[in-house]
Amino acid sequence: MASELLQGRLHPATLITAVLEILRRAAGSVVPILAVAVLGGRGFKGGFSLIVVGLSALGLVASLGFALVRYFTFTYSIDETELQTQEGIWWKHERRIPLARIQDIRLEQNILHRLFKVAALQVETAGGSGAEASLSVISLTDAERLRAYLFAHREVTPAVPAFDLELPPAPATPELVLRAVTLKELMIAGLTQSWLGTAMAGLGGVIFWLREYLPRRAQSSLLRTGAETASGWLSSSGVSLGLGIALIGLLVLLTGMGVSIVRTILLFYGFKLTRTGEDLSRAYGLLNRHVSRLPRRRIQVLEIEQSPLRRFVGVAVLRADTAGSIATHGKESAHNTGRDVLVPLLSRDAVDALLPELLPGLSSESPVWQPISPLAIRREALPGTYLCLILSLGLSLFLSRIVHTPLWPLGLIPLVFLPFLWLASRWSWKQLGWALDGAGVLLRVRRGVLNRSEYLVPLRNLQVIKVRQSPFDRRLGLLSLHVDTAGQTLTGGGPRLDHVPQEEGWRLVRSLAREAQRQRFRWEK
Amino acid sequence: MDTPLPEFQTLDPRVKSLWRMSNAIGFGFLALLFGVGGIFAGRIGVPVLPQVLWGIAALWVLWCAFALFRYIELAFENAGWALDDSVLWIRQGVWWQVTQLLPLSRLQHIDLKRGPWERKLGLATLTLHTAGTHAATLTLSGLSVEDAERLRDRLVAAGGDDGV
Repeated sequence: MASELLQGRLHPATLITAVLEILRRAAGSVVPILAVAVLGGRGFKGGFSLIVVGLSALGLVASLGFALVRYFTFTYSIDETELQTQEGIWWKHERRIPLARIQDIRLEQNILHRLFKVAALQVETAGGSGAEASLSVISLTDAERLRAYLFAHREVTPAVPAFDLELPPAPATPELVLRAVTLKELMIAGLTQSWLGTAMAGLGGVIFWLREYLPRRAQSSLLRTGAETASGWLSSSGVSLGLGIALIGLLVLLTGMGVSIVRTILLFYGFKLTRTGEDLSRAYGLLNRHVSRLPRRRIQVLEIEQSPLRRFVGVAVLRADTAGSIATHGKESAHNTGRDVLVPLLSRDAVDALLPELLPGLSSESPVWQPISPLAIRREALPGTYLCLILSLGLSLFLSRIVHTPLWPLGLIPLVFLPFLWLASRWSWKQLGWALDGAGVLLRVRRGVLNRSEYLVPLRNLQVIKVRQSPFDRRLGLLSLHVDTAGQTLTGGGPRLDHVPQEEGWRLVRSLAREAQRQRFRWEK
Repeated sequence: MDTPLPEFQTLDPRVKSLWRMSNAIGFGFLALLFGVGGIFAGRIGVPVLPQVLWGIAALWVLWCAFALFRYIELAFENAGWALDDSVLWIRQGVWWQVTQLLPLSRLQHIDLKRGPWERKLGLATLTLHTAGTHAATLTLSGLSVEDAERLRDRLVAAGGDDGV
């Protein structure tokens, strides 16, 4: 059989999107400064900003040049064994990726891409710090053809993938919808986000921008008119100053809440998690559409995350650490931990129903949590206790002997923290636990005081187990262990399990390591 | 019921001289720094500082004496490795003790390294690479060359059936 060969070039829309992207960046950096320079007149503290403008303009021209070169020289081709890309005039860059090594294929479409019916296709392999190959942008039909081809020629999935951007899906094996997130759920997700942080960050950004770029005179006049309006409004409406401040605070909070909701909806609108054979597919986004696909065995660590607010409502976020990289679009979808969001929000009960779909081989019965010895409370609280004692002793001595003040009992203030410390340690202990699922397929660890997380680590993904014992641990006969998996460097691999009694702990790590040895770790199968 | 810990092999005793040597250089440098700092402070006539610095230097030298003999003995006693049912255990540390377990099927590749001091003493260091993130590489230093080579061959033979 003659080797099939698919090849192609970038879509002409590449140029248009590149130009528009440059204009957008210009609008973000050059234009505001210029506008302020022109409008601000003599008050503008000029020279430095103009240099910045010049440099960014130069940068924009250069990136236009790069885009041109890329468009005219970029070619790709696929045969049965590998994907090849080539680009460059003087520095020719050629890359070959064996099809079997491909971890994850992502399609991304922003509004412009959707207008031109094109998409950016990103191919990822394990270990890279970003997309290994980025076909940005190609026509949607090409993208579809390519994806179908890639999946058809990866021995694991014989199925032609369904792919629901704007083309009708043509699934060969049935596509199971595992989870569709409704608008209501997205609103709850936005509402239960830490919108306080969003509000503060937004406010901080605005203030910083004003201080940085607005002429001094305009700043002070803005401040003055603001203060005058506010005081005029206060005196006329008869609202007290305290209430006024409270109102402003409320306004900021509400804005933050609104922004959080809108952002969540924009990012995750129409979220759908589906499974075709062994592959999981996620599609989401209102303006920018993302479709990505990963084989489910590539899930290295699964995290069920619940903030206090979300625990109160009874919902959770499902995150996954995959062996591919998420560096390119991970920033927006996985804000804090670097773990990719698998499902942005679902009720805690639904998680348990979903787990067997994500981690095949998982038993359906609920885990038997092994409690940790109460010694863990002492272990958790002891270092802080010693610190408090030393601090208050030192402070009291300093106040009475060196400053000679009769107020030396003030030095005992650190002791006030002790009850809280022990209480928090107790909480943390109550939450701490581990369970081995079924026939030793999976290690579950739960931890956290306020933000609680449950981690699920399939033992076949386990790489190294690290056991640490501090002097405190050894005195109490405890140990802490950390399981390491392949995957994101950002997240530090697998979870940590603290303060397990020695005897039990050593037995656990020994059986974990043996079990891991028995279950082969493979990138492909 | 099996015991939770395997039987650990100690490192080659020659490693103590290696540790003493490398520590002595670092320690000596710091002591020298404090001593010279003290002399300098005395020259420019700062009141209490020289005495303080010399005090620190003296304490430091005392500590080094302890470290070079007693601490290194402790470190030697606590360091070791074990091969138990295709799992490699490596442990080290005196106050903070760390034990790492590597299922051999996870081994991607092994380096055998020998620095100048190690060559002189007939020692070698094994560096074991896995596909992990946080603790992706493990080092086992202080083996005699023969042991290191033998262990490397054993590990490769045991783990080599699959990796990637």
